Amino acid sequence: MLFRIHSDSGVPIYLQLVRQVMHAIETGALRPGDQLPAIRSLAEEAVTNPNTVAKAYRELEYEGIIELRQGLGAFVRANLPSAEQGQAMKQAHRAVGAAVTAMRKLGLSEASMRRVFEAELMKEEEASAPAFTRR
Amino acid sequence: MITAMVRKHWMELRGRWLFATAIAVLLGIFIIFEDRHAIFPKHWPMSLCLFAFILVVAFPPRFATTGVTTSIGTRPCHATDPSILFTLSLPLRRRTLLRYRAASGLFAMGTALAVALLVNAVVLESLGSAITPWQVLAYGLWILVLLVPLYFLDTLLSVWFSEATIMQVQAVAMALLVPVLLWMGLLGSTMKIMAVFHNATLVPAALAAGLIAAGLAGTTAWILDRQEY
Amino acid sequence: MSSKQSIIVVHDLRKRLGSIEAVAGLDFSVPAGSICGFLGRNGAGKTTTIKMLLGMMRPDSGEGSIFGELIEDEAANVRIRRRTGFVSEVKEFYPFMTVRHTIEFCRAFYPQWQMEWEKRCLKDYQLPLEQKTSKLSKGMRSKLALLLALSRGAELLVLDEPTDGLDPVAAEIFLEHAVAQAAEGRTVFFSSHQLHEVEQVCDRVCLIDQGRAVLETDLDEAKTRIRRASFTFPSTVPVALFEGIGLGRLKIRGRSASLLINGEGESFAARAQAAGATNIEFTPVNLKEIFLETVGGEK
Repeated sequence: MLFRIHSDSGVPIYLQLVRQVMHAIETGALRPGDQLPAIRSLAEEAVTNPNTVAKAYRELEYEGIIELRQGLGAFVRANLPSAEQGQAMKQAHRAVGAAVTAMRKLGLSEASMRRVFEAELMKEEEASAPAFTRR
Repeated sequence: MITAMVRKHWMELRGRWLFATAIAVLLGIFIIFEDRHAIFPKHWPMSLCLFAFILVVAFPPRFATTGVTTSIGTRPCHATDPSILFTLSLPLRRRTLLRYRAASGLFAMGTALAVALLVNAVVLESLGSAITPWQVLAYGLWILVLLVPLYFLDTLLSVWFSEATIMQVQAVAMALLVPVLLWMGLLGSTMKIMAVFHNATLVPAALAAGLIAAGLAGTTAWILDRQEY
Repeated sequence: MSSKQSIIVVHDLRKRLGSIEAVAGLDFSVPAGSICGFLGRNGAGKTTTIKMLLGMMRPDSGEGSIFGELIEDEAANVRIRRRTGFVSEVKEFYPFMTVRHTIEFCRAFYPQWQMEWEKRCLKDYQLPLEQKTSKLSKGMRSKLALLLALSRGAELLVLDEPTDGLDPVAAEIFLEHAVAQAAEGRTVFFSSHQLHEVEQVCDRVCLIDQGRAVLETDLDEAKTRIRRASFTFPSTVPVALFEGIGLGRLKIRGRSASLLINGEGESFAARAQAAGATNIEFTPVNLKEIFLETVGGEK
């Protein structure tokens, strides 16, 4: 599969990679058992940091989407988070679909909907702050 | 590594070496003929003064630099040549750079002198002069004894000043020397001064020159270690 | 990510140049194996810092170390330079040498020299081997400097504006090289004004201004944590509410205000709401926006 990185989009690159792999699985471009490119070759091909690729793979592994086999590489899991997860995703799609319909009725533009969505997600993210000093 | 440094210094100095050798050879031949045909009648020290002048102005500053700076082209280089950061990024201490460069420059200056003297000796020989190889050697060693401290002084000065500045200062100093000597009535006694330069005083003079040179080189190394670029 | 050891560590570094304190209490570290972007405006102190790291200048106070060796000790710095590939701000070589001579000269100092990298750079950058370095264009000199740094089998690359003068194709090739070098286990520390380059290949950034680090973070983390927050209030913007909050300046247009926040979104949103904000929005930002806000200064 081909990865495309938008480095200045504001979306972390590892997240872009995660999304692209998930999308590739959804569209069938990647099938269970398929091997993902090695970290190094993906980094060189997409011209992005190997650590970032490694982070994306770890994230995908954590989500149960891929399997990292020692010395062999990364593979799409044969038993993807399967039924339950699939079910959950379907439910999520329905929930978001309903929300989008509701927001349309309120007359919100697509851009505003995205912002509302981002704002909601933002509230969830409360990890530790990066090192930062203010002048 | 040493080979690489020697090769660099050879490339750096070869043009200057050829130029300096050519000047010294031509000047030597000119002096020989001046001596024969008395172009400057009654003022024979004049030719020697001229020789000294050219040697002092054209030799040490052209060959001397710290090794942190690199002599570039035939044009005089500045105290900070653009390649300085490249040189400083090499995994060598500054005093190592100085040591390699000072040795290379000294060797180049010495061989340029030797070649010039050899050619001049051959010319004199062919003109039927009864000059012995020992006289030529002593003469050459005397020049070296006088030039080596100057060489290390110029090395020290090249920490701050461009080659052009050093040459100009030395040219002015030398040009002033003759009138000052004249004014003091000393030029007539130049022969007396010249009498100091004989074989018996060569060894102590060489020792003194060596000491001065070592002192100047040590000072240069000390200052280089504290310079910032 | 597990906390790896740091290759470069700088603590409270200071350097006065004339009347200006070019580096004024700088703290940062570069983790092993990262590609770290060193950012800041012209005169922020990047080059002075890099010169101190490589022993061309001495710190007035504070300390720095690379591979655990102190930078101000000359013998230690020679050992550092033996393991470090360096591209300086001034990409000048000996004018009497050709490209080939320069490569051969440099090769002699590094026993770990990588012929494959030399060949790769020669091919990718199309360097004219027999040309005198004084006849090279600015871009070509940058490429030669990169070849010399990338081929020496270093453990760390310190690159001061490596893409200066490079055309977009060559700049992209450099990014590929930087990634490949990192993949081989090297740490890359480079300064650049090309924020999109930094954004593309760096996993870490260190942003300095007036000789001090203003932001030092994993790039992904920064992009997750730093957002533009926009507020709308019923009447006037309660400026006091925003004091001591966020990165950079608070922008006010009529009844709306916006600023960059750094992960403090939730709690702050609640306070803004309590102060009567009618609308609160968060939008993602890219590195350029972060840069402009944090070191843009007063306009």
